Amino acid sequence: MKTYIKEIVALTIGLICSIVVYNTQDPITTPIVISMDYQTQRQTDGVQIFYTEDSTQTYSFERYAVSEPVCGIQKVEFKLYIKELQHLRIDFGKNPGNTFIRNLKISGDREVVVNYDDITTNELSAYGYNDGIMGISSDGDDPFIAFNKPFNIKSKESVINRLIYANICLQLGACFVYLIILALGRIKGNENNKSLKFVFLCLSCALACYLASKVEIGEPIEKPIELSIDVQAETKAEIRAYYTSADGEPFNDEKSVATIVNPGSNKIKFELPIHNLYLLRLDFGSIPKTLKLDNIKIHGNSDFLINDFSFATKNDINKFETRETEITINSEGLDPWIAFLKPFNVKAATLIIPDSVIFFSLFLTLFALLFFISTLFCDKISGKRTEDIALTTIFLGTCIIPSFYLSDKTFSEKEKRNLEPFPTLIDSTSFNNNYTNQFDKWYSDHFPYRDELVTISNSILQSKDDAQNDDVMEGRDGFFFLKNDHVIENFANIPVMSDEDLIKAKDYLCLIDKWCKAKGKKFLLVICPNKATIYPEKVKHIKKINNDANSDAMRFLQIMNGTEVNTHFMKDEFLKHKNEKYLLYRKQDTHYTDIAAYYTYETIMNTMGKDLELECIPKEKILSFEFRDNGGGDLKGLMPGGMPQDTTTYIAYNTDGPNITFSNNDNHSILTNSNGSKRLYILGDSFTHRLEVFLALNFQFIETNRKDQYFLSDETLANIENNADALLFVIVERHLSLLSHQALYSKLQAFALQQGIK
Amino acid sequence: MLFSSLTFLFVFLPIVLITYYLVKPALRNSVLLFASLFFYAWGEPTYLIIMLATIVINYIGARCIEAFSSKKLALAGTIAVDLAFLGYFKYYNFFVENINAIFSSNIDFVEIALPIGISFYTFQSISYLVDVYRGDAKAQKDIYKLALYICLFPQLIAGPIVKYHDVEEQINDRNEDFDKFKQGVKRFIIGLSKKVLIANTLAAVVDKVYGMQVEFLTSSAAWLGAILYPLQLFFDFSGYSDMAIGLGLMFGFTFKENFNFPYIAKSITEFWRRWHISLSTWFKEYLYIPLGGNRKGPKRQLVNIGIVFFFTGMWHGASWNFVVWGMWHGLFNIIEKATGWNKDKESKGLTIVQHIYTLFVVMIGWILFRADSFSHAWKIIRRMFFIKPCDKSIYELGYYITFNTWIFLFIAIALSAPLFDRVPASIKENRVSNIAVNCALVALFALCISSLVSSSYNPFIYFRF
Repeated sequence: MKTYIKEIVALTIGLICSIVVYNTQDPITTPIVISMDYQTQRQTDGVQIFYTEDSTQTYSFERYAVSEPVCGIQKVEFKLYIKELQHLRIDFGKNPGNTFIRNLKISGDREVVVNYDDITTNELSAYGYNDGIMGISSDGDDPFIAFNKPFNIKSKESVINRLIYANICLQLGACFVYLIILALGRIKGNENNKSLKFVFLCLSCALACYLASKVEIGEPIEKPIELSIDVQAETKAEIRAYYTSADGEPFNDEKSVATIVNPGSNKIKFELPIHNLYLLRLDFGSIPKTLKLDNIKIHGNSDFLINDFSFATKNDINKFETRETEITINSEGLDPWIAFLKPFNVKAATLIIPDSVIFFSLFLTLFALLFFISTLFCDKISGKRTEDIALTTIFLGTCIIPSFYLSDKTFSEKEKRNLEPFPTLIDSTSFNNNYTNQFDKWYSDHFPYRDELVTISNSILQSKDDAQNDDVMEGRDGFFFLKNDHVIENFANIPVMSDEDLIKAKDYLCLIDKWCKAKGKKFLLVICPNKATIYPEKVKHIKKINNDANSDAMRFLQIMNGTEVNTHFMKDEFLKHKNEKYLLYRKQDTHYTDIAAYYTYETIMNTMGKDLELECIPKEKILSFEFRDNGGGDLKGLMPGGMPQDTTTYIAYNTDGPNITFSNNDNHSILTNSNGSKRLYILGDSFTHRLEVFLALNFQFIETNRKDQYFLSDETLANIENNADALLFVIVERHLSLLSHQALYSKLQAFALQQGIK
Repeated sequence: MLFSSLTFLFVFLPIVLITYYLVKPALRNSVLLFASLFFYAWGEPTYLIIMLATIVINYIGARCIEAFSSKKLALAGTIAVDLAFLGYFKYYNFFVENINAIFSSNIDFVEIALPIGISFYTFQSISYLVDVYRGDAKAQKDIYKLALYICLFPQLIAGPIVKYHDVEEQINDRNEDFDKFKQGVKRFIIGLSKKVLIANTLAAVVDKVYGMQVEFLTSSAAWLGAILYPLQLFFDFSGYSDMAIGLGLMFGFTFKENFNFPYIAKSITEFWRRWHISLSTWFKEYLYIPLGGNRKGPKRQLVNIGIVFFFTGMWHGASWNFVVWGMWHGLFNIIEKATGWNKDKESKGLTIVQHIYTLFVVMIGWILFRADSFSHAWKIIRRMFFIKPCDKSIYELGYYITFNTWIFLFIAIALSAPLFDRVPASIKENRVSNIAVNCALVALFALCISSLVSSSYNPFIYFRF
């Protein structure tokens, strides 16, 4: 006891320091996270939420957040740096049409999957909750749903992060005191070695804790710099903020964020993911407009309100008036913007220690403890080197600790799958023979910081610019391509379908065509090319060994041209447009973009549409919304992690489109608000998804059936017969071989015979 | 359970280590035995019965050998039972397939799963019986100790094959100390890194090459597969052996080395002195020498070598591929023995030729070993030597191997040679070197964990044997 009196004194004082820190440290360090899968087919503005922190508060713009603009299906996440979340309201913006929300979750000290049992709604024409999906429909000005029951969710790590700070303080405090004791000359001879070890231990532990807090594993390490503006707009407009973080850095698209403002008052917020804001520029899109901007605030380590506009540089702005903190601008130019060219130098706000630090910190603390105990007994293990003791300690510590921090998640967002539940040894009455496998899977699925470790592993072990796995391969310029589903064979022009297969597929479609004719319906077959067919120059390491005429699609097209079936292979049309400004396919997705979907729509309108006396709407009217593929596409989802972000700007559908009612994923119908009178039935794969948005502009009713594309049921055929004027068959090149399945042909043949078609 | 599984590393191993060192020394064998049985049962609980039966039979058999006057009969009877188990579970369907093919008969196949590690523990059991028969060891009176020898988890499922006389004393009495433990940790991390970082990375390429239809395989891709597979196999298997030896050290056991840089061998004879040493010495001690070895004249010696390699091939798997692979090695062993090729000849030019010759023979052998069938192997070999040019290949070399894999390939090639043996002892034993090595091991361990967590590719190749 006497021997270690200095250490005990040091640690005791360190402990007192840590208790002081524990009780004074700002506890709010980790946000409450609200996440949801949000689907909308035409809404372009962001999702807005209002919340309250206690029951006395009301919804106001002081407790408000808005997401990036949403297009298609996107995961939307809000991070609220508040102590407690009581009430929540989700606003859908003006005229939102139909919108669907899935997996609405709030994570704080606990995770809540939100249900919709007790809600208040406003200006919703319809809403319903089914199978985990909340669907709403509205054409009002201020549609929202508000949850009546308080959530009572607190910020998760208010205690644990204080412990981490306390831990750092403990080490530093102990070290400091110990050094004082040393300075007082109370150290004796052979204690030097032990003393130095202790000092080294404390310092390294504190440093390690600090460094661990700097390691970004999954979570942001700093609260982003925030830019907030009150905007008064006459029309819908896009505001994009460009920012730089250092002197001499030019403004570019990679460092920009955008949001949409609606007519009327808006409070917009941008998160700028940088450590230091140097310069700022605000762009206002190319549509003529008048905007009033007020309270342009930058929130970082300190708040900065812009009230001096004398240093602002303008471009394409007709009118520029300022009053205190307010500016009014009017523009008719193509590229209106104002830039604040006096450096702000606002730094990011308080350090936020991510979840992962808990693991590292506790690990390091345990390691330090074991290390210290080992070093105390070091002399007793004669001739042993400290580094060997350290190695052994780390090994044992690493093997022991993870089991105490297994995750309790049930679903992996990254892998889009349910995680293995803990197995039961006895299933009802019998022994579970698969218990050990299930346990292995469960353990692996719930390993602490699994996603982060996967990302780290792939970042280190996976080749940059040349990544691939069993499903996906990286091409040139950030393009990813599917490897399975015969995409490679299609690209290399290796026939996958035999002549017999082609004939079976042809017969199947001819039979549908005949059936349609017998029923007085129009029929059109559209084949969408694979991404690799349109961008062959982006494919790496695969070469074509036959000419294009040998590909399944071209051979099939040749056969189909000999029939009466109206068939269109979109390859030539897409190739004609591939060198235009916007890409036809998303780089990290297997699917085409809205612009390619538009060209497909155009083709359909010029053929089937003409027969039905429908008019194609010019693309300028409906394609104007630029967006970035922030979440990555389906191909990125198939890669384990560590893949680069797609920074390409795409163009998307942006107009007041039809209302869409949704029945389920694979088989849904669309009701339109157009004046059309025709009804369309689509048998199509995932390439229909973006296409139907355009078709809905002309058709009064569209029903899309993905599930039954290759297995037409009696019910489906009856549905087409009764509810459609035309049938559209959409299939991607790589799925052509599915058409030759004997079963579907037999099924349809049987039905056709029954209907009297020879 | 695999050593490179998360369940083993983070659940099984810490629990067993803590329990082992917490209990009294007298109870440590019991802890290890229970852990070993649990370890085995985790993979396939049903076959635990077969293993327990093997233990009981060998226990009784060895006692009989010691007690009965007709020792040979007792030995033959017990070995026959051991081999009957192995034959039934591993070779029954193979024999039926061949009998049906030869006699056009229609004998039904039996759905049998191969009990994990049966080839290894059967050979260990035979080693025990023969050692008792020869008087090299006494029959174990304590069945738990025999059970521990047969099913000790570090070497249970993929070797090294530990001979009874090598560990008899250690089972009865061994010292666990920090030096051994530390060495064990180091060895385990090295083995894990070999397996997880190198072998698994190379395996992804090899699987692609061998999984490709040969019509689509270019000559360069065929060569790539032929070069990478030997390295993958070496790092996979030697990594596993390193882990086994490391675990043994953690529990106080010292197992013999199983590999000694086989790809630097200058002859096939030398290759087998460096590759899977525990298997080759087992065959030498328990088959080659009983057959007469070299004592019955040169011709008989060559026949004996042929027999040994026939069974070496058979031991690896119930397929003609393995038999041909064994005979391929046997053939070159015989040629070397007959021509005196394997005698040391110190000439630099000749040494290079010897290395090339050995690597070439081994590489062709591994193609036979890895291919799905004999015809598949033949097609790959033809493709390698342009006997049948490829006109359908759509895959360039970059499809198979990425930049990172090239790096791992060069690392693998470098580590296949005893580079570190050339580092002067003064540097190796230097404190700074030791710290650097330990830091590197910690980094490797961290990388292995992240790789294990992210990787679903994890089966050990040698499970099949």
